[in-house]
Amino acid sequence: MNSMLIIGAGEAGVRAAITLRELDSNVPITIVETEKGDPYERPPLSKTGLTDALFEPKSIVTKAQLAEKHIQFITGVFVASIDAQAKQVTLSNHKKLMFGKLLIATGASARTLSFANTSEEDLEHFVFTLRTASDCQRIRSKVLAGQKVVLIGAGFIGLELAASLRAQQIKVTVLETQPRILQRAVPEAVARILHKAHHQNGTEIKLNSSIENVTFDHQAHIKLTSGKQIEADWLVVGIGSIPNVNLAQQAGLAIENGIKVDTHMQTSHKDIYAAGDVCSFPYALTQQRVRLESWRCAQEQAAIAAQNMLGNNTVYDLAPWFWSDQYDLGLQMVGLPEGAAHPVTRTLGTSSCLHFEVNDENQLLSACGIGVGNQIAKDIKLSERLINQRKTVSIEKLADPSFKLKDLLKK
Amino acid sequence: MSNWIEVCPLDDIDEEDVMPFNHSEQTFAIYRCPKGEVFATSGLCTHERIHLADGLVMDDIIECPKHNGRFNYKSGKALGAPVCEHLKTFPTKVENDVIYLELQNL
Ligand SMILES: Cc1cc2nc3c(=O)[nH]c(=O)nc-3n(C[C@H](O)[C@H](O)[C@H](O)COP(=O)(O)OP(=O)(O)OC[C@H]3O[C@@H](n4cnc5c(N)ncnc54)[C@H](O)[C@@H]3O)c2cc1C
Ligand code: FES
Repeated sequence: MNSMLIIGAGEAGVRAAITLRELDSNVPITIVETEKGDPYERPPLSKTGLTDALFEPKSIVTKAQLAEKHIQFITGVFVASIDAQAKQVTLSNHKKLMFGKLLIATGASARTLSFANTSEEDLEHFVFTLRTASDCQRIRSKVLAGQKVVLIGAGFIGLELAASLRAQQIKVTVLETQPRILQRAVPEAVARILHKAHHQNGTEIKLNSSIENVTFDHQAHIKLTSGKQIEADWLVVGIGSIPNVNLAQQAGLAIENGIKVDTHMQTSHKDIYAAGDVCSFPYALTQQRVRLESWRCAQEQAAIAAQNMLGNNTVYDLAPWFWSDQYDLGLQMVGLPEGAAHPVTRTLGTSSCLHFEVNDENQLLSACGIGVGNQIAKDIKLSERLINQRKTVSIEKLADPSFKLKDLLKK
Repeated sequence: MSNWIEVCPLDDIDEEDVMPFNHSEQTFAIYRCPKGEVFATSGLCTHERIHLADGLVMDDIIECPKHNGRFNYKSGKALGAPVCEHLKTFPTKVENDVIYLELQNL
């Protein structure tokens, strides 16, 4: 039996289904998704989702469009278990579905903190995370100008939330255990510009700050290990995510910080694939195994998985691309900055720069930029092509704002 | 009846590049293809209404600066997720090294 089954209708699941249909007009395709409604985009949830009074989740594809493509879309039930041997899954309503090939695209869940001695009611009332449209709705219904809110974690979601809540006249404090924001995610030069923007917009960021405990009465009282105490009307925990690997784990698939896949997006079982936030994969440029949370990467990996589920032999070897919007600044990144051999910064003004990393062979490995609006978009796109084409570059030229990156590409 | 609007001198746009142009509350993107010919589309991406003029032109393609949606700027065709709605295109001409855009009078 050659039927295609997909668990999860996020960016990865939907992209895989559509790619499968583009490549094969006959193969039966089914998606199972826990949530009801149309599949939707998550990135706006921390951006316009909190600033736009008329916000509605933006659908990736509608149920009607899926039906038109003869993709069966089962919603409001989840996959409860996978029997890899029998090539069959059991749904929460006890129905069983057989598969020829399976894609696990279950994404990730927001990581939260455990609050000792706290009632369910207090958690419900004071503590939020942000991953789903209903999480966004809960936060929206909480927002009132003049409130004081603490965001735990200066990662992308925490910082985007800070910017969005400032726009709603909320007093925002961000707590971060590390000595700087986005410590592992972006180069220092870019983080510095972003930090300054938060400061100028009135967001207080407390670095090197660990929480001793949190107690609740009519407010949340957050005690730091330094002894300092902070009050908040409510708080949002933004300390990263946990890949939804339970199903895969129970099915006996290899797990390594996510479902372990190879460059074909194939798991340790030959008929089961994984893509998106749930998987860890060997990153082509450095051979390191990584798990990413990137909107476009989820789509690209899913498209590769779909091709291979149909018997092709395609590898995922692209540089991942990521963006974030905070205040009037746009950040974009391509490749994974990891403090590699030769860092180069191109300064473009007080609130804009591009940071490149080049290896010993003069190949560009990553580029990360920040600027007002889409100021750095074009250079990041050109960097993406330079990276993916494994072009050699000159460090002097990368550092020189008057040099056009396009000329390196034409070389 | 047609209506030719003066845009800018041809030299203001590099080959294989794009420029924004505003006219009576409408915004456009004006392109020069690698061979030098001039094209025009509506200015905003059909995904989240971001101006395409900050995007990258490569051959016949404009890539949106925001989430990389791609369009063929000669035909206006959207080339796949996240963009599915096409761009409007508008006729252009170059006379005495000046670019003109044609708007249909309603
Ligand atoms: C608030 C927020 C802002 C973001 N902003 C950006 C950004 O600016 N830029 C960027 O690049 N990325 C951003 N991201 C990350 C991006 O949204 C993710 O990388 C992307 O959604 C991953 O897609 P996915 O399909 O792997 O997982 P998901 O989108 O998480 O989809 C997984 C789906 O699987 C379903 N599922 C899980 N288990 C089961 C089961 N057992 N049975 C059935 N269904 C199941 C879930 O309900 C879910 O719908 C953001 C994420 C969030 C949460
Ligand atoms: S705004 Fe153009 S692709 Fe999203």
